[in-house]
Amino acid sequence: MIRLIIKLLLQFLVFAIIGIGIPLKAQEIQTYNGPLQIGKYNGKATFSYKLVDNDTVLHGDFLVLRSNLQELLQKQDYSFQFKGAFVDGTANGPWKFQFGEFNSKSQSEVIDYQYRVLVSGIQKSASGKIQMGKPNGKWTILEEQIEDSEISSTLFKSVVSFNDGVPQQNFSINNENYTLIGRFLRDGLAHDEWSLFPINGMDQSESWYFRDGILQLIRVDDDNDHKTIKAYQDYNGRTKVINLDAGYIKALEIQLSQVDVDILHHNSLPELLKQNAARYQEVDNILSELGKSEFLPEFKVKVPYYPLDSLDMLKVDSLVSYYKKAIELSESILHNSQLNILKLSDANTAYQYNTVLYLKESYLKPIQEIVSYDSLGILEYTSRQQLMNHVFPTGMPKSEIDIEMQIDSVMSSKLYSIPTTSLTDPSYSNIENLQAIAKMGYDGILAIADEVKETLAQEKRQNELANLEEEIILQNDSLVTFIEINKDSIPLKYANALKQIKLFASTTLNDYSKVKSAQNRLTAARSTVTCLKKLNELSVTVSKMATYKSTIEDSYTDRIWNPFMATLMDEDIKKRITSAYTKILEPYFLEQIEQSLTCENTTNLHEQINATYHTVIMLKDKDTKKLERKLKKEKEPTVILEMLNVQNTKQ
Amino acid sequence: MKSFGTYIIKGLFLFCFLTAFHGISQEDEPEVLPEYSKYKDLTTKTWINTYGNIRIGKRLFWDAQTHLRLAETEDTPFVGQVAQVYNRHAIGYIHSKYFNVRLGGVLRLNFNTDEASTDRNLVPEWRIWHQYQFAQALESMMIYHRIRIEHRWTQGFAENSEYIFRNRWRYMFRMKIPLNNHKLKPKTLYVAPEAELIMQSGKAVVASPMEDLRLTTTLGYILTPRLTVAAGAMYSQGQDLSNGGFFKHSWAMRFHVYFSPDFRKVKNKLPEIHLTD
Repeated sequence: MIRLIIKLLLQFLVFAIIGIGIPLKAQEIQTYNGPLQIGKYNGKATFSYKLVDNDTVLHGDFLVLRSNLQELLQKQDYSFQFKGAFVDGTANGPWKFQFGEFNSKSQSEVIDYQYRVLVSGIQKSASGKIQMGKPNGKWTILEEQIEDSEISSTLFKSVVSFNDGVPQQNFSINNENYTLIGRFLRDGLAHDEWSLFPINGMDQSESWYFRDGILQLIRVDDDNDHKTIKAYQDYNGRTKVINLDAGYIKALEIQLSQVDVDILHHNSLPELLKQNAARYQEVDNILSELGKSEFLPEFKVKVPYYPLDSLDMLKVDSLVSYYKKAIELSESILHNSQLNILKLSDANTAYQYNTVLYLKESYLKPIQEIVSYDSLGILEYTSRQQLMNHVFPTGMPKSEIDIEMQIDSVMSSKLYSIPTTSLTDPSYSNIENLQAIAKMGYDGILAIADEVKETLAQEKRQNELANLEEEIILQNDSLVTFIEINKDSIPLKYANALKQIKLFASTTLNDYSKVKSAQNRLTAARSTVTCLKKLNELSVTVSKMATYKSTIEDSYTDRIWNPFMATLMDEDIKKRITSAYTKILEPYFLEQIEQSLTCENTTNLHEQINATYHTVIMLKDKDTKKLERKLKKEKEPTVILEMLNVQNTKQ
Repeated sequence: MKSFGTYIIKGLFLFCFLTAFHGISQEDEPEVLPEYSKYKDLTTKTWINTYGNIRIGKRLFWDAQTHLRLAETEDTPFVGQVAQVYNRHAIGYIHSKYFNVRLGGVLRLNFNTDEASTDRNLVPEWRIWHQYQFAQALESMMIYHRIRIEHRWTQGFAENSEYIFRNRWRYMFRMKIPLNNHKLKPKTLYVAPEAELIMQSGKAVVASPMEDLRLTTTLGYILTPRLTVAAGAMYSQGQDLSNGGFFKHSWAMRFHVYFSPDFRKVKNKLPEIHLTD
């Protein structure tokens, strides 16, 4: 009994030790030395890692780099070096990223017994500290132009301080044209003065004044004048924190008068931020490939917030869909060449055409702006009234208007009234009115599109026919060229099949040219194009048949050791399968092409030839005893094809 | 694998040397040599040989040979009557395309063809044999050097006769020359001239070390990589064991079938079937 207990205890002890040992082993830090691919970067890496649940988790120092002298001297080399450290798969500690694209004019100099190759190109770098995946402390991003191994100019530089991923204190960003300097609050919101001034000093400079993230005003200074543009200075309603990006600038512009918008540097402030963000994104992409990362700087601002309720959202959606349909119709009418000619002589067509122009200008154009704000997601950052004032500066478009026409330099006009059930009404909400205008524009254009439908359709048909005929010529040319190029380089039996395909194509073309009626001609053109395309495919397949055959023969040959001769000999294996292909199926395919080719069986033949080839190749390593027995008796190609397909579907 | 192979070969060489030099001491026995060497009557023989070579592993094979040898008698001139039935087996090792060894045993059944004899009709003969074959390619032909060493225990037809132990030392030079192809491959007719010298030693061998010199030419046809047939003629001569002054000589017709099946499963065959190339 005691012995039994001891035995059990011992067993338990063994299991316990193994049980503890496995996780211990899993936590062991290991080192990797070798090639590593990170996204598009492929280099030599040295790093420490541990295995957690069979996953490689980076832990400890990390280094990956690449440079290739050979490539540099020959053409151009891209080099990079990423150096830093990870903790449990998350970047942590000082990091440096360096990317370079260099070429050399094969100039070298010898310094201290070392050959130095002078390089020119662009060197980008990013360095700073990362704390658990987020930038922390000062990050400097640089892009420099290198000439003969010397920095010749700085193309981009940004210095931003972070605290746990949130931008802090002062920052500066400059590219070749502008410098931006500004500061943040502790929570990352823009604060105080942000100055944007041009590098060349010729242009005006701008100062953006923020308070708690809300832009108060913008001061524009140039040599002889300064102007103050009021932004959200007096606003004290609901606000929302968003990123300072192109969308924010657009939302801001809705507030401003067109004059003010024209004064400001066109988007150069968000452009700088965008360039900066792109560089952070580049680093984030690398870190995300290796582990967890949140390496994106977010420059936050506050904007006035006028939320849309769900009903409003639905109305905006329907506005977008009306706009899309209407703009497509209007474009097809305005660009229709027949209508464009007719409108010069026919008063009614001129009336229709000009009406569409009017609807596009007065209805679709303002709606287009709304659609673009919606896609930027900034509809909620401006009051509805301001929005209306911005898109309709001269008030709502009229639903009844005199349309003017000029025929033979005689002006006339005719009253137009939009045939619609939609109406705008001052008592409706702004969003409702916008939706109504979108629908009115659509209804108006749709009605005219219906009137000119036949003209449009006819033109469409003619265009299609012209395109199809062009395609027919293209397809036939490519077929003839292909056959001419290939027919001499393949055995005669395949060349003959190709010649037959060419002959058949020319017969098909001839048949098409005999079709007279316009309606039938379109149908005939469509089927002729399809047929020629298939013939092209078939001719490619036929040109490969010689290779197919030799590949099958090669693949069904084994090298056998003959002990009596002490030599290796080729042995044909599974002869029934290879001979079914070479003696029955291949002649059958060629015969089909030469004797009974039609547009209808072209695809079938092309697919059968390819499928048969692939099946035969695949059968080599399968157990085919049964199939070989069946093939022994069978001489009928269609039955053999069926057998091969049966075999195919079974596996 | 290579080093293992080398060990096997070294071992085999050692074995054959040890066996070879053991007990080459001979007792003196009065022997009356003729004044001039004398040829005995020319005899004819017919040999029908099958050579099986069955692959049992990546480098190992089973050599299975069965030979039927007929010797001329007064009643059955030319073709002759059954003289010996051979069962020769060995396990072989393919070291490379150009070298292989094998080791095995032989049970030869000797039939008494002397019609006047009243002794036993059938006696067994036992052998242990090992062989080292070198092959080399020369232009389109192949050349082979074969060293075969046999340790044989024979006995006479007389009732209660003792086994005699002898060693046989055989060297054969053979060529296989393709006639209708640039190399030995299926559907090839080839001609194979060969010369083999068989020496012997042992207590019973006093003045007749040259047991046999065989000069053969066969014409063969490779049907498939696994099946070859050949036929030819052999002239042989050698000293009579009992008196080295007398030489036996004979002409033999030889008919050979060579087959080398491989029953291994396809998945085991590939890619080892190609050996090292």
